[in-house]
Amino acid sequence: MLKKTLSYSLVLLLLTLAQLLFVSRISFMGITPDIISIMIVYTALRHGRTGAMNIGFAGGILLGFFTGNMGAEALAKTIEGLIAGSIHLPEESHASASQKQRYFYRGLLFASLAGNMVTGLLLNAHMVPVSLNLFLTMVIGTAMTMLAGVIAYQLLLGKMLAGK
Amino acid sequence: MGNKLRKVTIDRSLFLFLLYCAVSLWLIRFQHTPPLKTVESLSIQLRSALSDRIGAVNSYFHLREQNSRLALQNAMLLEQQLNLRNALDESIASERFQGFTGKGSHSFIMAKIVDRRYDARENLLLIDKGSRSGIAEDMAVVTPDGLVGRIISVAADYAKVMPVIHEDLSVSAITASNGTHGLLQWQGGSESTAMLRHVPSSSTITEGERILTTDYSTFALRGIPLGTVASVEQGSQFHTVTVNLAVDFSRLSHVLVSLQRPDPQKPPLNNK
Repeated sequence: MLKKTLSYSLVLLLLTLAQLLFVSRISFMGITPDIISIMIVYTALRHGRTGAMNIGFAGGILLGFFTGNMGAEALAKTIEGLIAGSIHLPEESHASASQKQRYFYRGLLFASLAGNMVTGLLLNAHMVPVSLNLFLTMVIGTAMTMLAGVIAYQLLLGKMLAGK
Repeated sequence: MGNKLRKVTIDRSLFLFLLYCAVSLWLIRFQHTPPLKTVESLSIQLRSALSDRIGAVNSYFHLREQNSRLALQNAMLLEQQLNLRNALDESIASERFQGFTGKGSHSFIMAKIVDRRYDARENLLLIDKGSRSGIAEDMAVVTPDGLVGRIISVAADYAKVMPVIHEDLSVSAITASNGTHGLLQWQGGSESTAMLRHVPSSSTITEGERILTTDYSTFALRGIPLGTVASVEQGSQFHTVTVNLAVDFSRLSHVLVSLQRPDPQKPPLNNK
């Protein structure tokens, strides 16, 4: 249990740093993909809602620690964990690879939409009208996160989930 | 048994969710209090140090472009220096008679921008000089082109700069030719333009006019270029003035921090 917690914490820290230092440079109209959301959904799939919320909250605090928006990021990521928690696949489930893939993409879509809605409402550095900011973060942000999710699933997560 | 277990799990999830939301809301509410500011200062130090290391690798690949820009800037500075030297020679003689003691001279520290965020969540610059170099909050940050922003948070070796293109920053401004006053504020959108507000419709202001900082500012020194007037729209009470900003924020790599501290009595007076 302790080993698992430590490994998840280490991965979360590395992903947060990658998000801040590298992923944030891939920006379209000021919106960036969110790789923390991908980890939240992966955790939800493997460990359920509580695990996803734990990772979400911790990831939000970490990300916010570096950006100065701890509260907003933690809230958004906790909500992502809550939403993504609905796609948990229990150990005894015999879901096929395509079912797991569907679950993952569906979870990422809804979690990302919810998380981006919260950040769109709370963070608006470009001072665009709230409705436009919401549209940009929810549509473009979710699309970019989904794209990152597809790449991550095809390269890594699909294999990791297949071995579950 | 299964239902019971499920209910316990749901209750635990709900409790956790409420707890995390409460903590998050508390953090949002008390974001600007001293303890969280201390945490922010620590985060600036860490993040800037990391960005600095990565930036060093990136900057290696942009040395040629950087050199060309510096050569161009040097040529411009040399021209300015020659003009200023002439002006200085003339003024030195008269200042001797007035018992000039050096008031108004400024010292600057050059700093490198180690990270820059201009996305929907953040709009700030991080520089590689902090309190150890004598930098403190509310100091002005400039380039030879004009005003960049204001120091808002300082760690030991790094500092956070709120740029002119930030919703919370407004700068007292004046036109160079006829002294019309206004308040420069960014209205979002393009990072190359801002608005000059509170310019009475009775005043004369024309396109192409230079806009400078004034003595009224709580942080900026007098006479720093802010930009040039791009367009003027007549209003019933006030002009709507668009200003092309002097600093190109998309190409900033180094800045100068003015070590002159603002007058401590100014902010409270301005806030009233």
